[in-house]
Amino acid sequence: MTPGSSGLIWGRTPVLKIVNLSAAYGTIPALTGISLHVPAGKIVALIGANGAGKTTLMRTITGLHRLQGGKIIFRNREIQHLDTPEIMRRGLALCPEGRRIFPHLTVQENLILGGYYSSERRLRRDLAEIYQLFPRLDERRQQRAGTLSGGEQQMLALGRALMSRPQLLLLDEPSLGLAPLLVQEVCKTLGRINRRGTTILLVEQNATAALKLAHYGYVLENGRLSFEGPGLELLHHPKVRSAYLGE
Amino acid sequence: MTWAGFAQQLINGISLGSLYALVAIGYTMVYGILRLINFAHGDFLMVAAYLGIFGLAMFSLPWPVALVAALVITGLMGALLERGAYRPLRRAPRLSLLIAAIGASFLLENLALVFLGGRPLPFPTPAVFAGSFQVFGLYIPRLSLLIPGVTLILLAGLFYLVGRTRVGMALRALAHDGEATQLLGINVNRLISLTFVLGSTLAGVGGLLWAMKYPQVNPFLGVLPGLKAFIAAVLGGIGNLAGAVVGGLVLGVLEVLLVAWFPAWSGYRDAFAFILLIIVLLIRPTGLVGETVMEDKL
Repeated sequence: MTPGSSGLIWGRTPVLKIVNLSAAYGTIPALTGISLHVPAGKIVALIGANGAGKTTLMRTITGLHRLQGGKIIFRNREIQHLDTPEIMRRGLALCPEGRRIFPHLTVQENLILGGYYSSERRLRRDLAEIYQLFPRLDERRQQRAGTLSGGEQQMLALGRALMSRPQLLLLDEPSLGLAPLLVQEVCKTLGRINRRGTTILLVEQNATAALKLAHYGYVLENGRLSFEGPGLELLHHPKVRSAYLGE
Repeated sequence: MTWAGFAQQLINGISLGSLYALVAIGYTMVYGILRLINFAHGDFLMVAAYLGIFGLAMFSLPWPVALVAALVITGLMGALLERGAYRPLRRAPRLSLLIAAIGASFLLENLALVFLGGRPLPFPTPAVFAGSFQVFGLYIPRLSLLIPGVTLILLAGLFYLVGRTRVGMALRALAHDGEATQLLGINVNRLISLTFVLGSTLAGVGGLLWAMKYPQVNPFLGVLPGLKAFIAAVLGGIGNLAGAVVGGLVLGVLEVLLVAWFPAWSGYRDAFAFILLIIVLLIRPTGLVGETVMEDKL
């Protein structure tokens, strides 16, 4: 399959569609000719090594980094010219690399900020739902977020992102810095979140974990997409295995 | 000095320190959020004082109307300054922003000089704020109680806003990580405007009270109190709200007591603030309260 052709949309309209996107830092190109689809209700993984451009892609989608060319279409609207808060308010949430929680605010305050524009009633309901999903956060709701362990902070970042009830959840390296057992736990949680109806686009260095979880995957190399296919198929692709799994 | 004399001076010092605290809040909030020392901040004392004169003397408005109008306009001008001079430089190097702030300060002062003249105007203090009374043989100007009282109420409101409300949470989040705050869909520009409205309104209150305390208004009225309040903010730990209040009170009380104890040095009272600043920067650069990180209290 050629990159970008993405024959797999499962008959649904994509929530996110990226067309021929390019981005650069100054004159150094970071992303070239990226085209991809994220179908509604699915988990799509984008795997790539350090420096392949994964974080740049996340920053470009969310408007933190200005693209050089191409289009980003979210729920049938072009969003590449909007500024970050506007883009996010259209139904996007990002769980950023390094989690970026607010360490001096309490767990609950962090979550409330995720639902900043929610009504008081909806906020209460969403908080209850997040605490149900992450009982550990419930126990620590009045604690400063900075005192949480790495895994708990990842849960908090996830919960905070979910508080806006996003149509599409973007995740930048959720497994980074977590012990293997915790990675499994995060993946399980992501599966659960997806089954409740949230579409997910995940970028990961941890190819095995990401591709096992994802319905569909893309491989990013030096700022270009080199392979794509259903998650498990990609996981067993010899070239992917040799490049990412050291076989 | 007698105990009565000491108490008298202490009251004067707290009153002066409250004014420094009111103005220092604006420096510290803007610094917390934009990492900018807004050197034009002090000039909003002057703006509010002139607006007060217009309302009270020129338009003969009832004093509550005149003073509130002066504060509203001062607050909006603060937001306008950010919109016009600082927002376009958001992505520029921080030094450009600092220079823009110095430029804005000169602009405000010289606009006042051109249009209002350099001759000091008397401030028509409303009768309710004037006068004094005697308690336990102490002679206390009404303003000396009013200033700390007003300051206390305003600070209580501000601390409630920052510490307990959703907007306050967002302000604290913004002070820590602007990008992460934007990624939550929060309109950061509106929060920054709010910060400037709050800061310059508080400076405006300071300016009106200052003009009642020293009823001569000239275009450079805000320069020295502005610098002192900046010192107070650094003294307490810039970026820290509680620190600004502590710094203001410490500076005000020490300044007044110094003059009271060593009348011969009274000519050096302004130099004293700067000496204190140098000492703090040498010994404890994070300030008295500012040991903790910025976004702790803001």
